[in-house]
Formats: sequence, structure tokens, C-alpha cells
Amino acid sequence: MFRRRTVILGFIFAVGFFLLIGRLWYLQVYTSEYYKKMGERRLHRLRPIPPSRGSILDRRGRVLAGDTASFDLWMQLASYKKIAGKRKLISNIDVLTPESVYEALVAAGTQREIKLNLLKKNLLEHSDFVEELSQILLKNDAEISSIENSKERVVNSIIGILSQISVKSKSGIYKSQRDIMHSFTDPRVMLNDISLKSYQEIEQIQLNPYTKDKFEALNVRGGYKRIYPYGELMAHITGYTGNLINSEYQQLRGYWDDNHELVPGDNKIVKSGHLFFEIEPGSEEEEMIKPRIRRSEGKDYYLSGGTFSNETVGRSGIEQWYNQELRGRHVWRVEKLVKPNPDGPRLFINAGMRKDAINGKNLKLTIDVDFQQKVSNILNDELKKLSREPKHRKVLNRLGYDEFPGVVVVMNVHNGEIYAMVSTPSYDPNKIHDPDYYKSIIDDKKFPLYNRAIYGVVKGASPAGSTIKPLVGMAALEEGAITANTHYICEGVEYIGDKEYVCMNRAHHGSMDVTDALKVSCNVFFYHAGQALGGKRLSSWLRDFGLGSVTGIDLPRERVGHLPENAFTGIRWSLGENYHLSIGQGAVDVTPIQLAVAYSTIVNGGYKVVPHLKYDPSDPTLNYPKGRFKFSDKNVNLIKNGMWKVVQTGEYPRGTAFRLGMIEGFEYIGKTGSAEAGRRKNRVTHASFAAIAPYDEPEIAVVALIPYGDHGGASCARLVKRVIKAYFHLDEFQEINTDHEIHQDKEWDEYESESDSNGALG
Amino acid sequence: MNDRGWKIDWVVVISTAIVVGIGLYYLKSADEEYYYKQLNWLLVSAVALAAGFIIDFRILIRHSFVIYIGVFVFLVGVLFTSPINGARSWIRLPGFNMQPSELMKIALILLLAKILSSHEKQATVRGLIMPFIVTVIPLGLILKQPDLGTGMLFPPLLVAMVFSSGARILHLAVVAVAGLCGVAPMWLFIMKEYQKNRIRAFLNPELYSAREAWQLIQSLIAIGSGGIYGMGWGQGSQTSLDLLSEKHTDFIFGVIAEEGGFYVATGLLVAYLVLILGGLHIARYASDPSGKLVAVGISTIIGAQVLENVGVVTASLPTTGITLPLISYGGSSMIVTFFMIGLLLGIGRSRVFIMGPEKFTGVVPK
Repeated sequence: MFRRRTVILGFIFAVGFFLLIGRLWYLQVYTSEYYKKMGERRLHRLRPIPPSRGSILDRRGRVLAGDTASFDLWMQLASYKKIAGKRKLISNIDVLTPESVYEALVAAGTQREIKLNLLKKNLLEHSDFVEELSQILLKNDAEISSIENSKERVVNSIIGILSQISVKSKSGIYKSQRDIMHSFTDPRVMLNDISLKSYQEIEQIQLNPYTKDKFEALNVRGGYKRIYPYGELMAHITGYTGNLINSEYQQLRGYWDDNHELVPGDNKIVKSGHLFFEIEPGSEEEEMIKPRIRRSEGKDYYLSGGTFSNETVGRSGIEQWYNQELRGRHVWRVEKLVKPNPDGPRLFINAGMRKDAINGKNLKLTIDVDFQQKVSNILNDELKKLSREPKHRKVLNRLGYDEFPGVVVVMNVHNGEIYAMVSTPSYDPNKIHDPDYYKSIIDDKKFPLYNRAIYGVVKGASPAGSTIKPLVGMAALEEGAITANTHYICEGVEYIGDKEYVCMNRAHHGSMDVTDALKVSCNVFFYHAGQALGGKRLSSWLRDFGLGSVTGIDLPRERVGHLPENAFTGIRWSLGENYHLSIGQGAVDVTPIQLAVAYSTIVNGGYKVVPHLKYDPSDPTLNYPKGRFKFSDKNVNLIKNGMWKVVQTGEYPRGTAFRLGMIEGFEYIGKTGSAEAGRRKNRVTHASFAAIAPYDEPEIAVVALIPYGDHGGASCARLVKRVIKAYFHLDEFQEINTDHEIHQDKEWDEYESESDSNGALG
Repeated sequence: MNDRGWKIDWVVVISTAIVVGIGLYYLKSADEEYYYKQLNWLLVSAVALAAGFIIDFRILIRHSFVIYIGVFVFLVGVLFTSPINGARSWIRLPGFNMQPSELMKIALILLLAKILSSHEKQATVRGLIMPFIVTVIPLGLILKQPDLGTGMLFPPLLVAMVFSSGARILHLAVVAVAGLCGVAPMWLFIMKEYQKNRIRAFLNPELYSAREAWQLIQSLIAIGSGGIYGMGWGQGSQTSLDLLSEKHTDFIFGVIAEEGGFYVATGLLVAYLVLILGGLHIARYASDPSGKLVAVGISTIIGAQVLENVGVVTASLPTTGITLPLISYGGSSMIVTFFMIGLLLGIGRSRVFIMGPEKFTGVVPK
């Protein structure tokens, strides 16, 4: 029996082995192709390759904004997983459950703070995820000094991502719990610009099947970091960048509504009236982000659609306006896992077809950085001097400023190219994503984020003041309301009923024509000129000059300004209001760039230029004027003559800008402005000066505005003079000498070489 | 003492050599570092083989109860050590870590052989109680470690030895049903969640594609992409890119199948089968009743282990951690397997016939 049973045993084993051999045959012969393909697929991955954004260059090709390579850490708070056949939202960070995050987010006010702080504490003390990630960052990033520092950084970025999640929809209604929880699955930028070593270490952990669960939340994406070499100097022009946000993605790609109906996207976003972002239909980009349905086990899952890997978009300035031109196009790239060295790490390399992202186009600006820098230095210097004067202390103290803000715009009068545009204070676009820094500039009372060249005073209205007078004079002359010989008598004050309308300091200017009225900035003359013109004609002329509408400069968020509506209709329009409008007071609101365009119109033969920053002489949309006035040369000369007197007349009564603005041996024209704003008690005066230079063949318009700076002649004239000198390279030798006065005792050759180099720059 | 001859069963020796040779060749491809370590273990194992061959197995049978108790103490003791990779399977000794569950294989085979050969009641139910008890108690301890893979070898071992010693089929069927009933409490009380997930993953790999089935799918990809002729030594993409985990231990068959292809994998399985049939052949014609049972036990445990390992790697069985005997890297397993083959050859030294059963006219026990 034993022998028979050993035979039976042997037979059983033989059957077992032949079954296994059959199984092997099935796997290795019958379905081999299937597994080969599957294996190949597992060795490959599809990665969206981020393009680099075009650089912004100045007119001589120097980089104002450019990309540099970086690695960014992205985080996905939670993901959907099938557990025992059910789809569940699982947290990717050990101590954070989706429920606890949801609770903290929907709590109101202090409760929210308390709950977020609890989460933060929990993360700091109990999370292995935070601990391990912090260790890796500490080991590989030189700038992190201690583990506490590293942990703090990691946890703050996680909390930052949590607070980014919006719990309310656009209309302000709380989203449903499902929607909020679902948005936990969106990958968001956690840390920018981590080191290469950290990136490699994290990737090795993720490639290992046993440890990959640990860092499931993380996703390292190669990308680019935007660098602004000139920092504050160009901030208002270049602007800064950020990432596309969820609502913008929805606008681009569409989304599923609650009934699982696809709300189609527009494929483009328009911002400030200019194309901001467009995805070409049928492009790989559209493929990357479009919402889709995944069918699995007979069930449909509605996927909200992808995001670009590290899409950088402009958030202000040129970066925003020309975003569509600057941005590159994403493409898919197939990468293969290889192990170049048997003992080395495994790497993903570009497989087969080399396909690089389509990089963005470079953009050249009309700005000259050297000149911009000079203007900036002059402006800051002047503002410093002005702020030191005792008579300005009171207003500065009341505003809580240490120094005046100010703005200078230099524009070509013929084609609208902007050569310099400096608005102080400014901000550093390199640091804008640092929350502390951002908070500090948001809280700054001087509003550094605003470009005053296109925004005016920022706080409160920005009336034109006397700088409007050449425009009013031009209108009155052209309409025949006044002529070269029209004289009005100024007695320092004008009455309507018992209400006083005063001239500046109640000066008795006596009888004067339009040129002398401009010279001394006589209000009474223009009261009468405006009265002769009438409200309707006055306001429509001002509108034609471009006041009360955008100039079309290629910067977002340009302020429209304002002209009083009633003047157009004549309804409830009083003579007093007419008086005010004639001298640029009351409800007229003008930005420096509008003033520069209006002044250019007078001197360039009546062309309404479009101010622009993009340098492209062949682009007709930029360089052709919007329209043309038919001014008579006689009238133009009359106004130019009056503005010449403002700067050039030294004998009594002097021009308002003569004392500080006159340049020996160089003729230019201009008009000062001292615009009063605010109610009686808080009345402030904004100083401005708009100039055209040179007198004979006008080339540039220079507009300076110093909010709260009192009189234009006193505060802005010297500023504009120095800018004009810098532009036309006047008095170079003198400038150098004054710069180097304090270095007199230096050795002679050193001094010489320095003045040489400065001369070369000038 | 020298009532045994010096006959060497070349079938077993050659098939063992083929298996070890193929194993070493592909271990070098899978992981060179472990290959050199394995060569060292092979030297120690050769000593174990020689010892098994020379020592008279009857002495071991005589002291099998003492051996069993000794290993049993280790098996209890191992539960109080700190876990390595989540299991308390190793006792740390200077130089290497020992797995008492490996030793238990030999101890159990010897004890079962002693019990089953010393009384004649295998045909009754009462005769089956004692073998059942001595098997189930260490099995419980091994599952407690947990080491499901080794544990799963014991039931077939018990069945094979009881069966060959003359138990009734009916009784075996009853035991089998009882064993199946034992699965339920095992699922409820003994098995860990990850073990349950492995079985769930095996039954429905699509649902568990993330973690539990990772190894399984990688292993299938490796085997499947090997094709008929294989990708060549050192050329396996899944192997060389470390996508196949545990490739030097439990999943080494995946490496062999990917790089060697269907021919080599099948050849290896045939070599194993020859080894096992050779072992059963020795059992069949061994002169000593307990020796017969020891040979059956050894053949069975090696065969079961190969079937289990290859079954897991080809996703024919639920995932359990079990080494491929004679090939997977690992000192304890290697030494114990070689010692068992040594014992097998030792039993084959004294055969009751050389040429064939018809020509033999001597005493045949039972």
C-alpha cells in the first residue's frame, strides 16, 4: 500500500507541476504581448512640460523680467481611492483628515482661526509626513537653518494651501460640502524653488513601491521661476506673475454642474479689455485640462479636468496685458524610466521623440532702463528734498507718510512711446509671493501696488487743477469763444451771487490775454473763457482731448478718470460748476497719462496718440493715432507761447515754473497745476507739472504729479527740469561735479576714472 | 552501524545541482551583492548536506521528540522578540538570523515519521489524533508570527505523511473538512488585515490595483514579458529597474521567467519535479519504515514549497511570503533544505533493491 501511495503522491505532484507549467505557458506564450505592453507602459510616463515664459526686454534688449529654472513642490491634500469597491476621499497627509479640514474651513471668524491653529499644532507635533519632508528640505536646502525652521515652513505652506480653498462660490453662497471636499484633490503649489537634491530625494521615495505612500501628497514639478532683475524700478511696468486659479480654469475648460451636465468653457479669458489667456481649439493644452468622464465598472466618474503644470500668468502690468503673447504652450512629453548605472538611481528620461515645450515670445518695451533709472533717482531725490521742507511736515504727519509719493511719465509726443514711467513708492515683484511682504505692501498707507501714472492720486479724486488750462484755452480759441486779443480783468476774485470764486492767492492779475493768463495761471481769465465756451462745448472738447476715458495704454487697471456728466447734458449745470471745470477743479478727474496724451495732441499737429509700452514700430494698433484735431497753427502757437511763458518769463510777473524750472539755453514749455481736493477740513493740494520739450520741435511730454505736494511750480518744476536735462543730456559736466562734490579729497586718477565712467553712462 | 551502503542517488543529486545552478545564475542578475552572500551560505549548506548524508537518520528519529520540543521552545521564544518587517520570525544569533519555523519543518517530519511508523493505527481515527495535534500546535505558533507562507506547508505535509502511512481516504476527507472549518476562525482571529487584503486582492485584483496587487501585477508583467525565449540574462526591464520587489527572495522566479523565458522556467520546474519524484522514489524503496516516511515528508515539503512559491508568483495562489527552495536568497532556508536533501540521500544509502522492484525478493515492510 505504501508504494502505491507514494506513486499516487508523485502523480499528484506531477499534476501540480504540469498545471503550473500550463499557467506559465498561458502567461509567457499566450498573453505575453499583453504583459509586454503593460510593462512598457509602466516604464513610461506622460508629463506635461511647462514652457518658459517670454522675457520682457527694454528697448535696448536688457532683461526686465525673465525665467530661470526651478523645482516646485506641489501638494494634493487628498485623493479619491477605491476601498473595498467604494470611492472614498482619503487624506494624503497623515494627521489631516478631510473631515477635520472641512470643519475648520467652514467655521466662521475666530472659530476658524482656532481650528486652523489646532490643525497647525497637530501638524507640527504629530505628523510623520511633515517631519520627513522637513528633514529632507533641511538636509538639502542651504537656506534652511534648523529643523524647527524647516517644519515651520512646511506647515505654514500646508496651512496656506488650506486657507486658499474657497468655501464660498462666486455669488457668495457657501458651496456644498461635496464641492469643498472635492477641491481638496486639486494640486496646488506648496513650496517654490526647492533644491535639486531635495527633488531627487523625494522622487526616489516616490518611485519605491514600499515608500511611495508616504509622499503621495507631493508632486515635484520642474518649472520656471520669474526673476525681475531691476526689482522696484520696473515693478509698475512689468507687473508680477501668479498661477491660474480655479475659477479661471473653469472659465477656460468648462465644468460639470450638479446634474452632471457639461457647462462648456470659453477657451479664453479677457481681462481689462485685452486678451489674457486663450487656448487654441484642438491643441494639446485643451486635451490636458478638459473635463472628462471616466467609466469604471459600469460607473461614470465626472473628472473636473486637469491643471497645467506650473502655469504662470501675469497678474499686473505688462505681464498681465501681454500674457497671451508672453506665455508659452504646454506639450506632453513621453518619459522612460531607465537606470544608466547599475548601482545608480533610476531616472526618467526623454523617450524617443524629443518634444520641447513651445516657449513664450520675448517682448520689447519702449522703456530705456538707464533713463528710467535716472528718472527714478531724480524723483526720489526730489521727493526726499521736498519731504524735508518744514512747510510740508504738517500734511505728511496728517497722512502718516514719511515721504511724498510721486510719479513721472515721459512720453514721445508723436507716437506715444513711453520712455520712462516711475511711480514711487514701488514694490519688489521678486518678493510679492512672500505673504509677509505682501501684507506689508497692502497695509502700506502709500499704496505701493498702484501705478500712479495710470491711477492718479490713488486715495480720493485726482483733479487736474491748472494743468487743464491749456486745454480749455485751446478749446476756447478753436471755438472762437476767445481770440488772441481777448482780455479779461482779474481782480483776484469773482462772485456769483455771494459766493466767491478766487484767483490764486486772490492776486490782482489785472487785464490779461490768454498767454499771460497761462503764465501766471490766472483762474479768473479761465472762468470767463469757460463761461464764454459754455458747459457743453467745454466738456465735449475735454472729452475729445481724452479726459474721462482710458488712453488705451497697454497696462491693466487704467483709471478712466471722470468728467462731470451734467456738463454734457446741461441739466442742473451751474455757472459755478462751469467755473470749476474751467480751472480743472470739481468733478474732473485726470490721470498723468491722460494729461501727457492731451498735451501731446496740442503740439504734435493734433494727433491723438495711444501711449504704449510695447516696442514694435511695425504694429499699427500701437503706433497709429486714434484721431486727429484740425487745430489752426495760430491758436497752437498762442497756447505754446503761453506755456513757454510759464517756464521762460523771468521778469515780473514771472511764469509759475520759472524760478525752479527754467533751463539756461534750452527752451521748453509747460504748465503747472495745484489741484485742490478733499473737503474743507481735510483739504489737500496735489502738485503737478506737465511739460513739452523742446519748444521748437516738440519731442517728449513729461508729466509729474506729487500727491499732497502743494504747488506745482514749487514742488514739481525742478523735478521736471532735471528729467528733461537728463533726457537731452544737458549740463552733464555740471551734474557730474555736483555728484562728486563730497569726493573732492579723493586721489586725482580715481576721481578721473569715475567721472569718465559716469560720462560714458550719460 | 554500517548496515547502510554508500549508494548515492544521482537523480536527486543532479536535479538539485541543476536547480541550484540555475538559481545562482539568475540571482547574480537579480542582485549581485546577494549572489556573493549566497555563495557563502552555499558552503555552509554543503556541510549541512554532508551531515545529513552521514548522520544516521534513525538516531534523529529516536530523539525526534526531544528535537521537536527544543525547536518548539525556540518557536515560542521567537514570539517575544521584536519584529523584523512586521513579523516575529527571526531569532538573532551572532552572524545571522535564524528562523525557528524552518527548523520546525525537519523536527515535525521526524516526529511524524516516528509516530506514524511506531504504531499501526493509522487506519483508525484515533491514530490520526496525535499526528494532528503535533502539527497544529506549531502551525498556530507560526501563524502567530505571522508567517503564513511556512504555515501553509504543514497541512499538505501532514496529509501526505498520514496518507502514505496508510490512513483511510474517508478519514483524510474528514480531516480536510475539519481543516476547512478551521479556516473561518483563522480568518476571524489569526489573520492580520494585510493578509486578508492579499487574499481579497488575489480574488479581485482590479479592485486592489494600488498597493496589495502591486507586487502581483509587477510579477505577472515580468513573467509575461519574458515570452518564450526570455529577455536575456541581465536584460529584464522589470528586474533591472527594481520594479519587481523582493526579486532576490520570494519573487526570484519572476526574474528567471523574465530573463530566461518559458523554456528555462519550465526546465526549472521539471528539474524540481524530478528532484521530488526522485525523493519519492527513495521513499518507495527505502529499507526503514520511518525512513520511508521521512523521505515522503521531505519530498512533500520541498514540492509544496515550490508549488506555493511559483503559484504565488504566477498569481495562481493568494500572496504569501514563501521562499523558493534552493534558489531564494536566505541562510536558514538554504541550510535546512540542503540538510533535508542530505537526509534524503542518507535514506537512499540503504535500499532494498538497486535494479528494480521485480528483481527484489527481500523483506518489504508493510
